Amino acid sequence: MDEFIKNLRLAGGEVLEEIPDGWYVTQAEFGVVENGTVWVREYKKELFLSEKVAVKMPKKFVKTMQEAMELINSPGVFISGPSKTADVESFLVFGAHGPVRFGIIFDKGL
Amino acid sequence: MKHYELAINFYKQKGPRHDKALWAIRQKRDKAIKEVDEWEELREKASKIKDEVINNLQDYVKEFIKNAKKEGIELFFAKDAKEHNEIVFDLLKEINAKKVVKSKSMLTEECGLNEFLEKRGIEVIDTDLGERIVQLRGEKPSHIVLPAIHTTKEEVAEILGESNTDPTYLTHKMRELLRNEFLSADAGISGANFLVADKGWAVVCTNEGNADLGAVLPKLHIISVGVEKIVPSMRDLGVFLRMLARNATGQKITTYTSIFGRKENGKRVIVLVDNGRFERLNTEFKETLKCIRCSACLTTCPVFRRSGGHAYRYVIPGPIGSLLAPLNNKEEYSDLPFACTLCNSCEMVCPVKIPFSKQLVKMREYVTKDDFAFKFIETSLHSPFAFKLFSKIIRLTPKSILKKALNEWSKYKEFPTIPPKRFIDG
Ligand code: SF4
Repeated sequence: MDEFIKNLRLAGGEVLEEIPDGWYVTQAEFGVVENGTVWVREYKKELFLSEKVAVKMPKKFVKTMQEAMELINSPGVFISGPSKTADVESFLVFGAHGPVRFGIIFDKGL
Repeated sequence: MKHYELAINFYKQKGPRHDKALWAIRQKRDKAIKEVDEWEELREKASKIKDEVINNLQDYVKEFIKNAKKEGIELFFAKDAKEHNEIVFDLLKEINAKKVVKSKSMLTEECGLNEFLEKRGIEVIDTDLGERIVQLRGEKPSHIVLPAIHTTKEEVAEILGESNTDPTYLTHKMRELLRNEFLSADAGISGANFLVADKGWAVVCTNEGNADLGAVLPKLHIISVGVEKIVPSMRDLGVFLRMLARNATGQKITTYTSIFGRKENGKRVIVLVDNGRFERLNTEFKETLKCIRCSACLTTCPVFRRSGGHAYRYVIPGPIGSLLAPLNNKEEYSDLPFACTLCNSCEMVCPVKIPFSKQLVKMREYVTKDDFAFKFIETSLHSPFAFKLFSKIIRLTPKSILKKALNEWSKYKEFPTIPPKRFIDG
């Protein structure tokens, strides 16, 4: 889990204790340790239109994308941090077209 | 103008900065792949998967079409660029579309879709921020993953009519402008990085979220994609998803890896494009079909880093472009396989192991096959008598005339002194 969180942060993602007001919230099914990405099955426009997106997720992880593929049985989206670009002179900027901030919050009681 | 002329102009203006920016990305890439112990095994796997696909391409195309239809996606097959553009236009006409938002797709560049649609009264907005910058500048992308890597922040500010050159400010400014375009567009067009044959799904890997906005907001989403983008199964997809972003920019994965099936609130269409790909299967350059467009061979290439992508004048520049461009138009791009030192850096970084050193030499043969001078030299090298005669002629020709005759070559190189006698003649 520590490795997952490290990689999530590297991609610009945050770990939230509770969900602040004004965030769009959805559910993720699991995380991928090697890159800090989460699998979200529900593909809604708010995921990309909202300024701030939070996903609730269980403490369920796979090590690599190869292992992740075994768990996928429907379309959806892997998300790794907030949207980003480095198109203006290679400077990394968060909030390219999609969310400026992206956080996860672990399901309680696990 | 040829590559070396454009390269010299570019280098004088922007070369060192461009070189440095790309080298930094190459270093990030090296760091990212070192974290994956089994990197070389992944390359081996990726190469084998792609071999399997291109050797059985017809079957995989059939399987993909069958499963994508089952999934609820509408499917078209276009044999060339013209057919592709017409299919897309008809789909847009059907819904009376006036404006489309497009995300990055090298295939639509290859087909000249923007120009085709604009001539017919449909506005095309490139939404990838880098592509939007070059679109506003009236240029083409200079790199397949970093389309505006040749521009400076001052140039971006200028094209937006801004005096503030802060990258965050400029990025958010463009986001604001483009958000309105997304909300008012009639259709979205994107490419796809992979098509999963046994599921009928399309996979798009992006950082900005523009492809997703284009896919989810308008009623119609069109995916234009080359037939070679198919992978057999999700298991195979996993191999490529571990490699693509790491090898491209040194990220562990792109922000979004979207897997598309049926569209919830409208229609999803995939236009599968051949445009010479099936024909290429029967040539000695068929391995170029394995390319996943990660762009690592461009970024690492010492010539590309100094010449910029526009010097190649083709939609796909760099080492892979030097193989693809002459196959598209031999006369126009015959200089490209020579814009190369054969250093082999491209082959070292290629995730699907395209044998660049061999392919580029073969491509040099291919483009010079009918060239009289090359033929003459080749013949003389094969016959001792002709060789003797030939070297005698060279020896007797005054240096000034030789220099003129070899103008392109001697312009930037010191002309060697030719000894009066051959060593072998004692
Ligand atoms: S040829 Fe290889 S290195 Fe170059 S873009 Fe294609 S996959 Fe990447």
